[in-house]
Amino acid sequence: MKLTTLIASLIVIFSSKTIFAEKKAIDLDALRTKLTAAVKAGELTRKEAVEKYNEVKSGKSSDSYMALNGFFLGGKVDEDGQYQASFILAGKGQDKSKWPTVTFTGKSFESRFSDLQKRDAVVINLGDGTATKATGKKGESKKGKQLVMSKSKGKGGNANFYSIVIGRLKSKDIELGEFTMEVDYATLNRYSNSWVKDEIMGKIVKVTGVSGQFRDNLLLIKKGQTLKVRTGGYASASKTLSFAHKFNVLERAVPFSPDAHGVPPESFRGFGGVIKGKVLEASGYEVLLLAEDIVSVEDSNKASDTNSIKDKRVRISGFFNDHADKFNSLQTNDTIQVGIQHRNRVFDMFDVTDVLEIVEP
Amino acid sequence: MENLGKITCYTFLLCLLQMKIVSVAAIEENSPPEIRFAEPDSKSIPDFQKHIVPLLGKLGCSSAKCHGSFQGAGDFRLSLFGFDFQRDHAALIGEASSKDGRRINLAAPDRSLILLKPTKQIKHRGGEIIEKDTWEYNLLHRWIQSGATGIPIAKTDKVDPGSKPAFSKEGIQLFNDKILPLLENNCYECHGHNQRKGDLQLKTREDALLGGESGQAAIVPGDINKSLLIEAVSHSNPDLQMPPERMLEAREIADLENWIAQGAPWPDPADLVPIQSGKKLARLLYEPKEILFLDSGDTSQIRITAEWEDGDREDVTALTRFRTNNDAVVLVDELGIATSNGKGDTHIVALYDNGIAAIPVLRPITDKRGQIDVTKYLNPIDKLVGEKLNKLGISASERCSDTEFLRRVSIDLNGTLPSPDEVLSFISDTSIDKRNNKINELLGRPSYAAWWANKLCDFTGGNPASISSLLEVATENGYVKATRWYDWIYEKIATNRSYLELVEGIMLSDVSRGVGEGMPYFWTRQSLEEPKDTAMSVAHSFLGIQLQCAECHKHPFDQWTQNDFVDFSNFFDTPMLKKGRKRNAANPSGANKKELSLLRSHTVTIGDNDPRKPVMDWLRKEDNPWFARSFVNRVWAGYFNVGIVEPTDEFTPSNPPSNPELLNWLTQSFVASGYDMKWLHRQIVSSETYQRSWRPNETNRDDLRNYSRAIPRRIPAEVIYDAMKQATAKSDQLENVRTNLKRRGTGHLSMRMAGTHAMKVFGKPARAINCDCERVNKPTLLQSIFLQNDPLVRMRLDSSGWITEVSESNKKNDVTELIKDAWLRSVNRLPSQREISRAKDHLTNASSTEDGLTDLLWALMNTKEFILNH
Repeated sequence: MKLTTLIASLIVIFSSKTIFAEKKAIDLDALRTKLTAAVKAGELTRKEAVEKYNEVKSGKSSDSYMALNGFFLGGKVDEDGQYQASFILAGKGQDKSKWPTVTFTGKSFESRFSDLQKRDAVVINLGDGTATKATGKKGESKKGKQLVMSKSKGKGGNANFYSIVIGRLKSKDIELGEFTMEVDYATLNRYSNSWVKDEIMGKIVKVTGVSGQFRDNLLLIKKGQTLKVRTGGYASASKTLSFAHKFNVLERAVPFSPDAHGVPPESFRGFGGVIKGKVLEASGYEVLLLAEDIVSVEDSNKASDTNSIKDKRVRISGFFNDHADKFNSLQTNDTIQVGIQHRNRVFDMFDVTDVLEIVEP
Repeated sequence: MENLGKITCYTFLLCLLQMKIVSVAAIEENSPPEIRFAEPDSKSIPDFQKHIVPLLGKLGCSSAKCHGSFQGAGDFRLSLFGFDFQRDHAALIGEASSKDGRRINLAAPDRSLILLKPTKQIKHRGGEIIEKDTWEYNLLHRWIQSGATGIPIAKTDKVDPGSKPAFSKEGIQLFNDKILPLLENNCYECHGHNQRKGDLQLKTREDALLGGESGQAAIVPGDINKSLLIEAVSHSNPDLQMPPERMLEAREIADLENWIAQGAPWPDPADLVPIQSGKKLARLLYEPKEILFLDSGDTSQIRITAEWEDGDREDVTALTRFRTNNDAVVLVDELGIATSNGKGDTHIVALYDNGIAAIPVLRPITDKRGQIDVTKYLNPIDKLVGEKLNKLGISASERCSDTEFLRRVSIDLNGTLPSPDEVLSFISDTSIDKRNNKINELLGRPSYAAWWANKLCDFTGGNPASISSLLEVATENGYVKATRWYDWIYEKIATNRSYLELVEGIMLSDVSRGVGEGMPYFWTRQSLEEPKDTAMSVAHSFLGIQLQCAECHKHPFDQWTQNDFVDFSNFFDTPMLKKGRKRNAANPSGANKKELSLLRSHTVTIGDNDPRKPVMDWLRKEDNPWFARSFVNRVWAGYFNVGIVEPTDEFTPSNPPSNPELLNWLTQSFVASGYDMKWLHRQIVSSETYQRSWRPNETNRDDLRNYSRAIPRRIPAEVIYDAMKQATAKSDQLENVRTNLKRRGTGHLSMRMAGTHAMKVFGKPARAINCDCERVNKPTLLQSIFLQNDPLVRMRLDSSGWITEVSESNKKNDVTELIKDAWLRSVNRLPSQREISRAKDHLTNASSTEDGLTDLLWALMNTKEFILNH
């Protein structure tokens, strides 16, 4: 087997985790493994790795030193009583969620890594199985570098997606609290990543984590029927939405149309002012309002046609804090005057401002 | 000589007279209070604790609907059930708002309100409680006449006097009379008892000094201007106006200012909770030891004697509160006269001071007593149950059939129905030991561990919502953790680790780590906000006792006082258990050193060490009165519908076991077995007692508590869910349905399904409160409607793998076999010829065999036989 092929296959095998057993001498297998990890971490190109392997294999070089930057994840004793020390390798230019991990197994590693704290930045020598703390730059704290696993800001991975997703039920498993749906629309707000909406629109996605009384609702919804569900997050790899853990919504809904679900017309986006309308839904500190009239328009208004919302539905969020008491007293069919502001034209929801009054119809 | 004779005679008479006086005094001192105070000129002096407080309790003055209520009544408040002697005495001697004078008038006892009101000489909303010149009146009158003294304050050794500022008597009086009622009426709804709004508590001086989330002290002793409380109540700051509903009256604010100016005197905490009097009740003695009635209307006088720690004894029958545990069997009046009202056995409970006596009452069901030959039994359970049945004149039912046994033991041990093959195999087995063999087989199955793990999650409160948040709906993280909780217990049961080891794993778990050897989620539940919540949870889970009453007042039917509650809560008031308890976490090391009574077993000094350790040390003591007993009793209740102590989490002296010898034997043997759970299950289900038929005979039709027959029980919610699946499953899926934990109601679904309509209808506990009563196994109309119409049932039938299997095979040609299969799947027995015939008729007339079978399964799932464990 050619080394290139071998490395390619090892990358697949060790794509997420590389395990080193305690050995006194370095053999070719170990070298192959560490080179694979180095390629995966971006420390070496595949070509460099092949060259290195061939040099050692042919006896041209006995230097198997390979220093990699990484972070200590911690040590533990496994079920067999073996000590295991884990490191994550800092992959160059890679999303942190995709950085590979390496594990050293053996009793001697326990003392070798005893002075390391979790998340310490280290230089790992795969050849002799040592790791030393990375020296901090001038001005850095004595503690040295620490690994910070911040959330990926790009597309992919896991993301918050606090949204109302509307679609048609494709399949369901009420025991596991899961179902799949073909997404017709997903509302956007400040707590939902817009790329998720782009990724799931028109696709079949899985929703997991439905529990308690919402399983009863799921039981009653038949395949092909439209439902709406409030989600909390999205895992790109598995194309899975998670059921929101608060202000839960999972119910049968009318087939999607922008107006039926309170998606504002383009000409109303950017609106700021006070509108009057009838409450259609009031839950989860949100109101679905059937707009009847524009009461006043703020200077900040950017809607091109404020009247375009008349006789249409608009979803307004943020009825907590000062509005909480009044919100809790709202009943369906109440007529209210409410100040709203569309802070981001991409979002489908409007934020409530300081005005909220129940008025006579 | 004559004079000498006269002198001798006078001396003799004087001696006689003196003797008589001594004798009269002796009679007066030793006779019961209703005799001693029968006449108004009694020389005896009543004792506040021994006579006055019990009398006020017996008359109902300190009950919840009268002066014992939180607000009191008519500006007069007594402690509920009268155990706060200091405060009650203060309330009695304090000023009343009535224009008719004081409650206690030492100068003119007749004019005391506590005599005028209950005799209705003046207006009394509670009506006429006593008549003038009765012994009760005389007793109260004599007490006032003799100075109306309270009880001496015995300082506890818990508080170092040097560590607390000393306050004047007047300052404490001001606090008790004016400030405390003001705080109770205006502040404690949000900042007292269980409430800590804005992180502010006002229950203790230390809390008030600490202040709330603003970081500023609510009171600064001696400085009105710096005391946030004054700023709040005077409404000078628009952002801080307390109480929010109204502004206090000027005189109330003045009282507060005066109090703070005096240095905010506050009684020692030791003074705020019940204090021991000079005498402590050692025990209550009662006569007769057992009441045996033969006919309806028979009566028996109960006499109660209080024995105090110093050896004093007094007949306190007239001051004792009586109640019956079953008025269908016996009635009891206020004088302690018991009257037979029906057949059976129960207890009369007598309550005086902190003592509780439970007097057994028995009236045989028949006159055929001693009919059961208990010597024939090998299993001690059968002997002990038989002895009780002999006393009652009850004959036990016959042994149940094999199919009844198999279904019953499968549900009880494994939480599942037996499979059709299993039923056929069992009934064809002719070996003598087949029942014992089946028991051992069932104990080795994963479903045994699954079902009892589910039950132990019930007892220990494995609720996904409380693990993850304070919201009613659990987060995914909550389900994951609850599942780990379940799996952790499952593993312990599957490998038959001892119950002691299991509890140790929970009690001593490292809360800073995840699940491993220990199970920390018990402690890190969001619902355990305060140490008292943890204390109540530990008491319920591992001791089967309910402490919550004692949080606010003396437990009405148990020995627990607020002192006991506070002490036990303090065991769990440690930063390591709850990071949220930041106030205590801020205390310097060693400052939390406390000497606490561990539920009256012994005193423990706790400091920086893990305070759960001494609690666990006590649990594992063989003479612990509740630890093993409560578990044994819960397990027993799982097999017999009711516990030997019922409710199973109410181990109180007023709720004695129905068969104490049986509970004692089971407990001792369980401990001797090394807390071996399998031993306990095996011992119970292999007994004749467990294997009795549900069919009653003429003597045991009404017996629900003496185990003379099986009581048909509604099968638990999770088991119904699994049973419906099992009845409709494809044949080759039956095993998977029975063993796949992820999809079993008694497995992982147990956590996720809580809150669904099906589980609510059938009473699955949410594990949200400390009460075994959360699981409801009673039948309701809604359950019948559910089984007839619910979409879940329709879904099961419409998507039945078995009916599809029949449809796709040539099985549908053998209708009799299909009918037998339907019976075996659902009610786990073969149908009778009559049943086969009726079912055939239906199938013949059905539009298709599949439709006919669907109807048949639906009908079988709607029978009592399916829904009941019998």
